[in-house]
Amino acid sequence: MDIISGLATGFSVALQPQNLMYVTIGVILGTVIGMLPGLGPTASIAVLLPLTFHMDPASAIIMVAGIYYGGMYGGRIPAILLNLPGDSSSVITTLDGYPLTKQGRAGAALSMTAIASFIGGTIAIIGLTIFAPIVARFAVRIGAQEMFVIALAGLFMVAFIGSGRKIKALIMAGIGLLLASIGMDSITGVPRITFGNLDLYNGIHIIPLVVGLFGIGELLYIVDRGMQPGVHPKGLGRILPTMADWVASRVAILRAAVVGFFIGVMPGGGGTLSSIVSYGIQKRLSKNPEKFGKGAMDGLTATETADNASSNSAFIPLLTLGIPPNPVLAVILGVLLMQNITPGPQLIDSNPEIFWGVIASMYVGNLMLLILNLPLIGLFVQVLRVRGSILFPVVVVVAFCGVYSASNRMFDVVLAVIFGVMGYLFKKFGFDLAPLILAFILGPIMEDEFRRSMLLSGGDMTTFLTRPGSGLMLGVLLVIILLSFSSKLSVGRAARKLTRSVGEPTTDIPEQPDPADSDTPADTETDSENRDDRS
Amino acid sequence: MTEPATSAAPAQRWRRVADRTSPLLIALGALVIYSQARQLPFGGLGRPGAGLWPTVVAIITIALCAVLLVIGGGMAESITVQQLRRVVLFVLFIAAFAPVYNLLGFIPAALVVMLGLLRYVGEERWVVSVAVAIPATFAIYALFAIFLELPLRGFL
Repeated sequence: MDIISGLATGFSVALQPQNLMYVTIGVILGTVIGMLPGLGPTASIAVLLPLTFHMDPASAIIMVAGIYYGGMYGGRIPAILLNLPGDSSSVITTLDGYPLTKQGRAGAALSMTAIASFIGGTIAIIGLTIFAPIVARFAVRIGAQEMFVIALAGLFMVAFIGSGRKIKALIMAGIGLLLASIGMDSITGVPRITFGNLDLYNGIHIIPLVVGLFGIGELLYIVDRGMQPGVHPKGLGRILPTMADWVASRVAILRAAVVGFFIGVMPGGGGTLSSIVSYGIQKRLSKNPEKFGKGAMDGLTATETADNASSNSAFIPLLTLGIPPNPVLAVILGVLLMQNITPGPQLIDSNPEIFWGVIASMYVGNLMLLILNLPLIGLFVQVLRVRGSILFPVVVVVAFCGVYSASNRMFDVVLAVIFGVMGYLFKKFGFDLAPLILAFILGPIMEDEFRRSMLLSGGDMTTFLTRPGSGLMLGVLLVIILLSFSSKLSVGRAARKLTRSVGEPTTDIPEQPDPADSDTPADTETDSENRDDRS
Repeated sequence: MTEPATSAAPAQRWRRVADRTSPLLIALGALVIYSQARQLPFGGLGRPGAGLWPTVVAIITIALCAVLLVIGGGMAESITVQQLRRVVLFVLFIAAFAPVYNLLGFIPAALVVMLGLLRYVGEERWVVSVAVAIPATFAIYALFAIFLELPLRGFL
């Protein structure tokens, strides 16, 4: 099936009326959940996942695409309006987004964010459409040794490029691998580390793990720091951008789309790294670098374009190798597996309608985000008026329903609570959760491919070095690890440097800023007064 | 929801304790898994058994925890009594969901969680808590049990 006929097949599924309805619902719900400070796209998908369980695979995927895009955009709204980044990648958004709000240009900033995200996303999806089939054909020839090294590289890259300390990231990866090894051994059928509990024989399901770590854990962390009172943003100003905004941003958008695309394909790449790199490049090449950090529209659009482009190109390793390069994609992989879709080199040949359906759903999801968000920006902003103390209990019960519906057993809800407490403690103790969830997903792949490699080579560990493909990849991995020790190849470090260089208050990447400490905009008013008189 | 002013010394002491405790706790967990994995067939490199992978991963994790213990984490956050109280209350209410569900069904369980979180963690007034919890519970039940046909028992 060539690209044109593949896309035609995909669109015939994605454009069905009920699927358009699902993507619309997905975008709206994703935006609303993504707006809750601390709940990024990963948590948005985790919490809303149950809504897709009873759908057919195509509808489920298209709705998840909508939630994904909505969740990403939703995180931008408090970042731009309130200087409250919802997730790590929107920290860079605050640098110029919030100054634009202070200048009374919040509407233009939000609409340019939506437009830049759409353009960046679309360019990346076109790249994905072209490159994914090529990579898939190449990937069919990859052996067990190469697959093991690719999975290992994915894990190490996340640990070594991530925002936290490397040793802590590796420990988290170890925990993820250990959790993944619980349950029936896939090769011998022996129950492992089940502590005699029958519920653990099938292993730990990804849903309670993700909802617990990223949903409940984040909520606990927010509760710890004091729930945000409802905020009443005043006027957004003119919604549509001016011609000057366009002129300033057009080259930045195209450049950032290319940068974001290539960073997204890298394991550990993702939105945060691409945002930082693109912002840095744009600042360096801009005619007005002094405006950065004071409301530069091209700085904002470069960030948003790269973020969205990288989020879309990250689907290339997922769809062609079955390896998710970041935690959001790990959750999406979980969704695909639950729908009995196994991404990998064979997907394009064995299930072309699914492969192209996923790609078509991304085009549709991206377009729906733009269509819905431009007219509905004013409405979405009203969600910020609702106090966290009212929203979070509802989110908890919805999340529990989702966890329960994954396999209809309350044991998973208990697990979600346990993982929630673990997630909270890990954050308090300064551990990054991303390596854990990736290791959990990559663990079974790594173990199976390692054991297969050992069986094929008769237990010869040098097989990973002597095979050209795996040997070369190990060499590249080693160079990257060494570089990460000696250079500035760290998301956290780069972000801190960037925020310092534009003179804004630094927000540490993995942390949710304390509303009490944040720079509350002058044109907003909290309802804390209303809360004081409550009994 | 303003926090009481806390001096820097207890916060720093907490951070030091947390930095030392966290690798120990993780190592302990890995040790438990290691002891379970050692009871499984280990095999050899040529024919790896079910226990080889978790054993090796557990050993590496414990070793990394030991290194972290020596060099120190340095990124733990402090916690105040008020923060701890809120977190413990939150956990108690959400942990109540599964037992109350098994005992009484979804609607009582969801009501307990929502009312508890709204009133005692969110510190909303009773009237607000009830006004949010009751319609939200029935709306969620309608969405999942009726619309999405999830086998949730409303009442036992």
